Amino acid sequence: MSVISVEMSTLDHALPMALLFEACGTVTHVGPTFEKIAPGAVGKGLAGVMNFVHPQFSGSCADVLRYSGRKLRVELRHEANIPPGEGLSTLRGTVVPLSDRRGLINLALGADPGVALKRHRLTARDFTATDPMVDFLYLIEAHAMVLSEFERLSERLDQARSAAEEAAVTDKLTGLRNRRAMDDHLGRLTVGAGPAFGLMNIDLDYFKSVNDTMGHAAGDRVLEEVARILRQEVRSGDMVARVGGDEFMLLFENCADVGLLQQIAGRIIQRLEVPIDWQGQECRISASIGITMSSYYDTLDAERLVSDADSALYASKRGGRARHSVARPVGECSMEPEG
Amino acid sequence: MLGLICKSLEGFVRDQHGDLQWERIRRAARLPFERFEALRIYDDAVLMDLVAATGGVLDRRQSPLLEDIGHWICTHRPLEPVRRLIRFSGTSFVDLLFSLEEIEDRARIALPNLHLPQFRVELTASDEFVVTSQWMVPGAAAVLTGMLRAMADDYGTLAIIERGGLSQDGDTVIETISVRVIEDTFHEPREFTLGGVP
Repeated sequence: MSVISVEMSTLDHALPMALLFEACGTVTHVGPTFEKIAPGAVGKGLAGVMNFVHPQFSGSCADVLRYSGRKLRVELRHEANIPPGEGLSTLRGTVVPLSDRRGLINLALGADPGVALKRHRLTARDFTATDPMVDFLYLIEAHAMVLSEFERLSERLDQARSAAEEAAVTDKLTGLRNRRAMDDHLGRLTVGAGPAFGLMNIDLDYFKSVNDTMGHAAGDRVLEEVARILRQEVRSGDMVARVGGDEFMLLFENCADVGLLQQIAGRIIQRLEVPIDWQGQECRISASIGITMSSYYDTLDAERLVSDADSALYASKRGGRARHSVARPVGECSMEPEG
Repeated sequence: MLGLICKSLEGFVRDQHGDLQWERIRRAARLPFERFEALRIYDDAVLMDLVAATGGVLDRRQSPLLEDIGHWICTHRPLEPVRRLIRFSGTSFVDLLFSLEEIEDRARIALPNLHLPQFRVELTASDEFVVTSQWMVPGAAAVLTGMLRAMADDYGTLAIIERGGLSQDGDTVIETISVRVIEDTFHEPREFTLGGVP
């Protein structure tokens, strides 16, 4: 067996986290990085310096040499700079038997070196020149960056998705729901036996002549005003949708009172007939309205409801416009006097 | 090239000149999106257009502008991890210079598509160094010059750092920087801890 002897300073360079102990267990030397992490080990007994987490044993000298070649998990009892509420860093080590039953334990940082690096303000100089610790740090920092990037990205995607969903069911000009939203909502309400509801179909009268004589900008202004009035005439849970150029649909949930809807229809017509100002000129419109109620049907069919409300609407048109009618699903539409 | 590189330019403009200037630059460079995504891959030409548009809108010559960006990357508080990594890699400014040769490899294991410049460091006299960069677009030397000036200050080192010439080899742009270290510990180094490591 060939023997080498090594200067202590060379050992410190090569193994800056090593510890040397005598046969009796007294620590005789520690490397500079060891000293930084847990100062004052020299002169103490091995068991007083280290807590052997795994494998577990008393920490006497004779015991520790038996584990030569195995990975040890240890803590340093006198570790410095431990923030309040935190425990000792877990380190790894291997034990190397030396001559005369002396030994060397070489330590390295554990699986998460970040804690010890931060605690003891270690830098590249505290490791051997070939230690990959710096590269490991690049990975840790890059990983943190990538994670936070992904977090931000998925947050933005969520926002973009809800904006897109909102846009898909909203009429851009008036901010009301669109036909797709009304169809979906009506589809949901006609499945199963939910509470009764009323459906109102509104078609503006004389809107085309506003558009033709005063231009589209005036028409847009009128539509915005109509949207405002319709919103005010319904309860907050009711849906108001613009389902065509000058066609609107109102859905009143939890409502079986056709008289109430007739009142509302009358009031809507009244308010829509108030001239709307457009750059000093007056835009005059009115509305024809058709109403149907879910309570009129034994089985609910969304298409049927819409088509009946439509028929009632056209009855109002035929009857001279500016009025509302209620559908009679089995027979003809009844005509109500102008509201 | 990973968006992270363009995003650092975007971050510099927004932080130093405001969102409005960024909007102008974005329009001048005809970018069809509001912001760069750090982890998406962009065409190298986008970076060239972006630097040109930034110089145009801010009315600045490109090299001093890129030097400022390099300086900003090392001193801007939220980008502390960059400074921390550089400080950790070398215990002195001269250590840091030599560690530049490993930057590209280190970046590649972490983010394979990042495509940082490749640096070579030569000792030309006892206190004089020449750093050569190879990248797909010009500007690496100017950014590095700004970074090295910031880091020399960080280490408390007095050094003269100047950009040299530019040449081209096929698609690769080769630039040089000369560094003369006058006094290694000119003043107290800045405080340095691994604060961001969990």
